[in-house]
Amino acid sequence: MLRFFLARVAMAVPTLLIIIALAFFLMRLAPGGPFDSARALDPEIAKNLRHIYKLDRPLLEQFWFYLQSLAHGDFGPSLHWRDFTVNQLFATALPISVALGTKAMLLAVLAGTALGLGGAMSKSQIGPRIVDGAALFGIVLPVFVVAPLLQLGFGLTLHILPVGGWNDGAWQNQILPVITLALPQIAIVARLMQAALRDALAMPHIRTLRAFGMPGFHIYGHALRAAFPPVVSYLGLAAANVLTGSVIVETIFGIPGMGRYFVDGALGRDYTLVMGTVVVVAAAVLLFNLIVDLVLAWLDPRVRYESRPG
Amino acid sequence: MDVSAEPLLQLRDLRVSYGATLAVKGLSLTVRRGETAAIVGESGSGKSQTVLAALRLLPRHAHTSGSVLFEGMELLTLSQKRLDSLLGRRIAVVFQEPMSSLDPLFTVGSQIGAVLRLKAGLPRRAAYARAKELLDLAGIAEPGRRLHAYPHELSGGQRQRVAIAMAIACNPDLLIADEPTTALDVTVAAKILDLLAKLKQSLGMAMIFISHDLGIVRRIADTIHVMRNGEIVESGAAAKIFANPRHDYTRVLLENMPRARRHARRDAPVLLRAENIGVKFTLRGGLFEAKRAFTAVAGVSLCLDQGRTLGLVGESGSGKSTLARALLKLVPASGRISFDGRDLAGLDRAAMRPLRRSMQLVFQDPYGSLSPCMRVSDIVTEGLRVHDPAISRKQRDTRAALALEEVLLDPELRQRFPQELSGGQRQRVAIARAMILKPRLVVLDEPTSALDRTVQIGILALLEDLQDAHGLAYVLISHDLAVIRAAADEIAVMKDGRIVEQGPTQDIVERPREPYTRSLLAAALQTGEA
Repeated sequence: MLRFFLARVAMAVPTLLIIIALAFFLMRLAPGGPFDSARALDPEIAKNLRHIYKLDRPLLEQFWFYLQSLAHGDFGPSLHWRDFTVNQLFATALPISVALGTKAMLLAVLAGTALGLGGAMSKSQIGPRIVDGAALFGIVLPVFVVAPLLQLGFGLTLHILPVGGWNDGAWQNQILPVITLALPQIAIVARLMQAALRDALAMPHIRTLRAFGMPGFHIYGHALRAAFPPVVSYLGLAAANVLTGSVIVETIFGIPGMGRYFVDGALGRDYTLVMGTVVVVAAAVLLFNLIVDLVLAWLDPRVRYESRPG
Repeated sequence: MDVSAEPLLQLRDLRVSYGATLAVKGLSLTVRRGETAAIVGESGSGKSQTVLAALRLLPRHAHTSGSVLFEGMELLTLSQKRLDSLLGRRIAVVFQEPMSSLDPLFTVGSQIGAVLRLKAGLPRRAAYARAKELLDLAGIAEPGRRLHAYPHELSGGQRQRVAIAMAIACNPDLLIADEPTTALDVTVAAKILDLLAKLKQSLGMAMIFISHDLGIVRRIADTIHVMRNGEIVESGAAAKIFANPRHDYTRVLLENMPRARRHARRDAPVLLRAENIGVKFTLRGGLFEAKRAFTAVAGVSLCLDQGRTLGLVGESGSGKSTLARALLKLVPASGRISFDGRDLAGLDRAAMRPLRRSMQLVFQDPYGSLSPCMRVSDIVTEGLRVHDPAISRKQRDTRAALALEEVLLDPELRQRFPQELSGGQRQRVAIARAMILKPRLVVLDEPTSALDRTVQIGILALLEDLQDAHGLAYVLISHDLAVIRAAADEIAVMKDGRIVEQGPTQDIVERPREPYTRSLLAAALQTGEA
């Protein structure tokens, strides 16, 4: 198990380096630069700016500088918000996105599992179809339709929740964005869970439990355990995406999270900001993949003994 | 058996239907206290359906009617709660597949422990202690250590012992064993049968033993019920049925044990010669352990003439399949192999390819070895696409039809998918796939083990016809001496990667020298064959 863990971590480092390199050079290939604006800057000033940010050095040297500062945990100064470093921007934005994302994922796991379990347990033919249908609806409806509808209903008509803003994380302000983030995830988890449970319940070892007249909670406990692996595999990737912020949700609800930096950074050719978001997202994906692998190994003894790195 | 003992389980006019299809057609039988009743019949005859229906374990879309009385209680109308309180405590079941009937995600101890806690009301610690006793009772060595093992860490026989331990946990009055030995090697199966007979005696249980194999049933049953197409065609005391079978179908079942084949001696050239073959696998050690080498095959030499059959027998794990793969150069091996006078040692993959069409392989599992997403015609002709890429689509289709006819299948089946065929049909497809390339050597890896006796006979006869027609040489791998005896000219007995005894079939069967061969023969004899 330790060997398995170490091997995965060792694999993650070169992967991250490759992603950083790709992002760094691709960004520089894009036309334009961080100091372009409608009114051209004085050439002297532009030159000084480029000098201060070391943008006049050879590209490889810049890459090397970037890696060095990254190794110290420094994402560098933002080229667009010139009074802030990227670290400062992230320090306020990332906790907000993580707070919303964590709650959304928790909600998705709980509600999705409950729905999937309900569908799989239902004795009638209709139960599973209702869950499937509702889930399909949740997957198909785009976030930019759901969010304004929620604002309209709970904010403008019922006046019980604020339509937007962060308000230092007051719980009222979090409810609608969390629901919006969670809905498509709930739908996917419910569908995955229901399908996996239906397969699990048809397995011979579940028939054995029935043949021994074991109580329902025991049978469903075993079935859930067998149904979790595919759901966990999905949750890993979903968590990495949801926790690092959603552009659309954060924009609609006016939340100062990470999401907007994806867009603003790329449009403003804010090299350091783009690199920062890439590193954060890539690290999150790698981290959650590692967690998924560990959880799967914990869930299934066969993975635990047979899994080999590579 | 005491005929006057009171009835424990009575089935009256039991019917099971799936839509318009009747799986069980008005079946009645009585099992008395302490009796061992066997239900015998081919797969699909409704044996398992009968007991699953009696315990209400069938899927929801199955419709059950009739009456099932357990000690006078009607099981079909009992509340689920009261039925559950009987199941596991008074009535217990052992299923066929010991791998899949145990939960792979839980240790053996926790699964037996759960039955003891939830069905017998034992507290956790007492349940574990009792689970250990049960494993010991079921003949598992080191029960204390095995409690913490997961099912995949145990052998097939050990898993079945665990399933039996779980079944006897609450001292049931009735044990239902659904083909408990079918998935096991003969030697292991014989031991499991002994265990069941012993436990039945000491615990005073009644038993319903379901099997397709009359040879196995003969050893254990007091009464036999022969089933066919959802009906009981003959019932009676075991001794009577074996001595004087009245129904034609019972006679067919009794006669359907493979007979020894005629051994035509021919002076044919040597096709395959192997000298001193060895196969080693490297096992990865832990973080701080060195790698270990595992020797699967060591120092095996053999020789096979054109048009003849070499039978490789041995228990599972003895290296039979590995040796066969080494002979075809499918696993790296040391030693010398020559095929049709050509030394294979120096040939790389590309140089082997033209030779590959002359050496084909048929696998054991007709369910796993055919791709479920390809039509039969594509499966059968896939080899042609590699070896004869110039052939047109239409020609391929014709060839597929011819190949299916050769294995006595309806050519129309070529448009179907494998999962729409029966086990025997699938194995014929697998054979057609090998034969379409006109090979000279075919390795048959347990080609009949997953099949019923009656289907086995058909496959063996087909293989013999094909051999005579095309002068094929076979390497036939089986753990079943009855099959080997019926089909092989020569036998090589394998144990722990070595050939312990080798010679003409007649000699080996009649005058075995090695104790191991004798024990294999004894096991086959005990189950009523060979």
